[in-house]
This record gives sequence, structure tokens and C-alpha cells, in this order.
Amino acid sequence: MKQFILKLDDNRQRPVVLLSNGLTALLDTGAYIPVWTDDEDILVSDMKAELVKENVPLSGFGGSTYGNLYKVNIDIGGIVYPNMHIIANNDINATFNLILSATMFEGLIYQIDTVNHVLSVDIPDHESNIRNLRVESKDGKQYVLCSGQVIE
Amino acid sequence: MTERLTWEQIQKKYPDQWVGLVDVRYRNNDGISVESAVVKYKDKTKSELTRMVLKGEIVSRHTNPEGHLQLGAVEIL
Repeated sequence: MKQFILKLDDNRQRPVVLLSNGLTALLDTGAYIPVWTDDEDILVSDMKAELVKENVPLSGFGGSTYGNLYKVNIDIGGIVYPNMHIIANNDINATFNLILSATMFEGLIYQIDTVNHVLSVDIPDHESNIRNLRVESKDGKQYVLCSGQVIE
Repeated sequence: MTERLTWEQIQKKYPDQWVGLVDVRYRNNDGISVESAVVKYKDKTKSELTRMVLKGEIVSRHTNPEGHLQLGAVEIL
């Protein structure tokens, strides 16, 4: 078992972690897919994201909307998501740069410790810290798949 | 602006806005929870500050991080 520890921002009540590139990310255990909540142009020009699909429908308590689906490389404290699918939507007034979804931690053991202000992620021996998250379409429905990626 | 302020002073002096910080000190050296800093930018947009963050020039924070009652549960249809 490998363990990764990320500090949570003590100035916030919600679990927000810092990525290696200095961006802040909210861990939203109710979210099905990661969301880029900053300027979409930054995702493309600075983060080198590639467009996968335009106008993907998404919903939340705020109602339904659309966002463009991209793939981008993300590193969360040593847990790496190459070409991770993420939807760009800057409609909410987010005080962070992106949302990390529950699906990103599929197959892992994670704990949000609000006493010691840490997010700990345990990766079982049969899993990799290189994660593969993507949106797949099947029978007209969208699914998020996440699994470990074996590196030779 | 070279005055060092605590996070609470920054929140009071620049309420409900994005700020670009330099010379940041963190609580318990955790690398994320701002304890004090020098406010370098107080009139930039979130995206302008994000670009500077990605270049390693500043630390960017909103001074009212929980000020809006947001709900989670983002899903694709």
C-alpha cells in the first residue's frame, strides 16, 4: 500500500488541495466528473489541454448547462492523471481553479481529515498511482471510467 | 505594496475579491494555508492571477473562499 498525503487549506471549510503547479482544487465527493472552473483559454493555452468534444451536457443543483470536454495532464500530489477528461465550465463563482470528482479516486482509499487538515489517499498494491480517467459513451449515456494504468 | 499582512487582515482589507500574494508564509509550513503575505495584486481578475500562478510568480487566493453557498454534485447527463 502506498500512501499520498495532501494538505488541506486550513483557511477553508471545504476540502481544497494544492496541485503541484500551484492551482487549487476542491475535492467534491458529489461530483461525477472533474470540472475546470477557470478561464477555458488557460486550460488550452497554459495547461495544453486538447478538446475532445464540444457542448457536453452536465447538471448540478444549479440546473443544467453545457461545457466543452478536454483531456489534460493533472498531478495531484504524486497521483498522476495523464490525458484526464475534464469539462470546462466557468459558470459558477468558484474560489478555486478546478473540481476533483469522486470518480477520480475509484479503486483507491481516500480520507478527508478535517482535524489534521489532510487528504490521505492510499493506493492498494495492485493499483498504480498513474490513473486513467475518461468519459465514455454507451447507448446514448455518458459514463466516467477510472482505473490504474500499468506502466511497463 | 510591501506591507506584510496576516490572512485575516488581508480578508478585511480586500473583502470578497481575488488577490495575488507574494512572500507568503503558511500555517505550520503546510504550503497551502496562508498565514501572512504581501498583497502584490488587488485589481486583477481570477484568470489574470491564475496565469501568474502557473508561471510561479504569485500565490492566488479569494478572500471570501466560502462566501457563496455552493452545492456540489456535478454530473454529466
